[in-house]
Amino acid sequence: MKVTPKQYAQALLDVVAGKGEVEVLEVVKDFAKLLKKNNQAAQLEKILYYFTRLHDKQTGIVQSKVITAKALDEELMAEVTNYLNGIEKGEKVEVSFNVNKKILGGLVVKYGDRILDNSLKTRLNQLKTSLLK
Amino acid sequence: MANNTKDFVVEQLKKQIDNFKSESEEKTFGQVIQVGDGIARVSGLSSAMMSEMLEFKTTSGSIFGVALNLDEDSVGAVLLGEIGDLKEGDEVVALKRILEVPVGENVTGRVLNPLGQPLDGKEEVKTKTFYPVEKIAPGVITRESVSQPVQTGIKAIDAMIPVGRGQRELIIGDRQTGKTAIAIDTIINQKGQNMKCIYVAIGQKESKVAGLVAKLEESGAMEYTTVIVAGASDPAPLLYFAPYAGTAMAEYFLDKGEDVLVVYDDLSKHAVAYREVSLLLRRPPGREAYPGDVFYLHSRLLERSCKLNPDFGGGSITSLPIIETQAGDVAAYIPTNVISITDGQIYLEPDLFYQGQRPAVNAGLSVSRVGSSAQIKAMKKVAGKMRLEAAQYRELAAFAQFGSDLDEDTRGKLERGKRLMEILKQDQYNPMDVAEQVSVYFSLIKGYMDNVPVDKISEFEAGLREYLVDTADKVLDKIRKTGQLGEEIEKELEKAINDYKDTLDYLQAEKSVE
Repeated sequence: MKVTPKQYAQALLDVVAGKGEVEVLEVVKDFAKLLKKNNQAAQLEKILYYFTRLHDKQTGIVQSKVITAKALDEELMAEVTNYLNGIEKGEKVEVSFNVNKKILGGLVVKYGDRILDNSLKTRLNQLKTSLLK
Repeated sequence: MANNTKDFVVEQLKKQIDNFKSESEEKTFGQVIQVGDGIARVSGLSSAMMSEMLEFKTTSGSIFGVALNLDEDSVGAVLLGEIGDLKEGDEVVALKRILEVPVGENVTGRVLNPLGQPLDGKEEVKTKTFYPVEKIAPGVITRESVSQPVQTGIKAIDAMIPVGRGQRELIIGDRQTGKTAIAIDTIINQKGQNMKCIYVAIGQKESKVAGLVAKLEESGAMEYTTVIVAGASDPAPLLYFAPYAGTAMAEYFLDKGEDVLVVYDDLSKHAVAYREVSLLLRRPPGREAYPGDVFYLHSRLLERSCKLNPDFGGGSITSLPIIETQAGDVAAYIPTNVISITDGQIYLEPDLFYQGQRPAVNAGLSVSRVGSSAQIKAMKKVAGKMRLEAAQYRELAAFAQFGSDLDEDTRGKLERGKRLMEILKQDQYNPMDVAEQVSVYFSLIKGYMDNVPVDKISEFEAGLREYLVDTADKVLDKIRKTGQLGEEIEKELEKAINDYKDTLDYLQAEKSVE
C-alpha cells in the first residue's frame, strides 16, 4: 500500500512527540533512511508541509504573514503582533514581516487561511470598479 | 460659464470619491496544490462554499474559478477560462460570492458568454443586478397550470403538439433533422407576442452560431433575444454553466412578471461536458461513464421553467431543450432522462426529412402532455379533427399499399390524408400567424381542398393566405382578437375560400375524387 505524505507526516509527529533532542535526532535519521528505502525521498517537501501544519495544529500555533510596501518600524511591528495575538485566545501566533512594493501602501495580513487585504492597490482597484459602474 | 461647468465636474468627482467607502473584508485564501485539464486542487480555503467563486492570482493577472468539490483539507475547483500560467503554489482567494451572472434589460439583443461577458464586440453589460447561476425552482404554491399558448408559427406543432407558456417541450432527433430550425423559427415568430427569448448554444460550432445570430438579426428577432454561447472550443466548465446562466437571465424577466422562452441547444453536449468535469474531479462514473447525478443535472435545470400564478407576478419560463440522438436511439441514457423530465417531446425523424416532409415531425411519436389547454379556442376546434384525420391516414396508408380496390370512404380518407401531409410541410424561417393557420386547417377539414391536386396544395395554400390577407383581413382579425371560430366567422371564412377558389384554374372536376 502506498503511504501518503500526510500519513508520513502524522507518523513522524507521533514518534517525535515527547522526546528529547538526542532521541529526535535518532528518529529523524531513521525516518530519512525509511524514505530512501521506500523511494519516497522526492515527497520530502510535501511531508514537511504537512508536518508543519499538523505540528502547528497540535500545539495551537498559527502562522501569520504581514505584507507592507515599506519595512515597518519596531513600534508598529509590536502593535501588529499584539493585534494578531488578540484575535483568538489560546493560539500562539508566529508573525513574519515581508515587504512587497507592488501593493503600493497599506498592509495585507494573512492569518491561518484568512486574509485581510487592506492594501492601497486593492482599494484603488475597488474605487475604479465602483466609479465605472 | 465654462468655469462653472469645470467646477461642477470637479465637485461631482470629489463627491463620488468621497462617497466611496473602501471596505476590506476578511477573506479566506489557499494555495494551488495541483492544476491540469481545467481543474485545480486548492489547499486551505477552510470556509469555502459550494459553487463559490475563487480568484486565482497568477503573475499575469487573475483567473476565476468555482469550487465544486469540498473535501476534508482541499477544494476541487473548475477554472472558467484558460489556465494561462497558473501553477502550483499560486494564491487563491475565496470571493464570498456564489457564481452569479449580470441580468437585466441590457442583456437583450446581446451575444454573451455564460459569465455575461460580451462576445459581440460591443460594450460590457452595464447592470447592477446579479442573479445566482444555481437557484431553487419555484415551489408548488407559486405555480399555476399552463393555459396560454406559445405560438411557434410552425403548422405541424401549433396544431398537433401545442406548446404552452411555462411548458417544457423537448425537441429530439438525429443530427441534421432540423431541430435547431424549429427552435429558431419559434424565436422568430415571437415578434409582437410579448415574449423575451434566450437561446443558449452549448458546444455548438461558432460558425453555426454566427449564422443563427445573423438570421435572427435579419428577421428583427434580436430586439427581444439574448444569445448565450459556450462554443465547442470553450472549456467544459463554461459549457456546464451555460444553461444555468441562461435560466438565471430568464428568471429576471420572470420576476418582473414577463414571459420568457429559453432554448437549450443542446443538452446532450451539456451532459457530455458535465461528464468531463465530473471525471476530472474524480467523482465516480456510472452508466455510460456519466456521474450519478446527471438526472439531477437536467431535472433541476428544467424544473426552473414554470408558470407562476398572478399572486406571484404571473410570469412564465417556457423551455425548449434539444437532445441529439445517435442513429435514432431514443432509449439511450440521456434521452430517456430528459424525456421523462419534460412535458412532452417533438420527435424529428430522418426518414421523413429525406422524403421531403419538412419539418420532419413524427406526429405519432410526438406528444404534448399539456394538451389542448394551450391552444386558442379556434385552433382547438380545427386541430382536434385534424389530429384524428392524421391518425386515420397513418393507419390506412400502410394498409393501402397492398391493393387499389378500396371503398370510397377509405379512398376519401387517403386523399384527405395526403393533402394534410402536404399542408404540414413548411419552409424554414417562414413562421405562420395563428389566424392564417386556422383558416388553412379549416379549409382542409371542411373539404375545400379535396378537389385541389396534391402537388398543387402548397401553391393553393400560399395563394389562399395571400387572398385572405388582402380581402378578408377582418375575418383574420376577428379570429386573432376573440380566439374563437364561431358560426358567423365560419360563414365569412367559407365565403372567402369559395371566392378564392373561383379564381383558380387547376381544380379537379368534382367527380374525379370519387
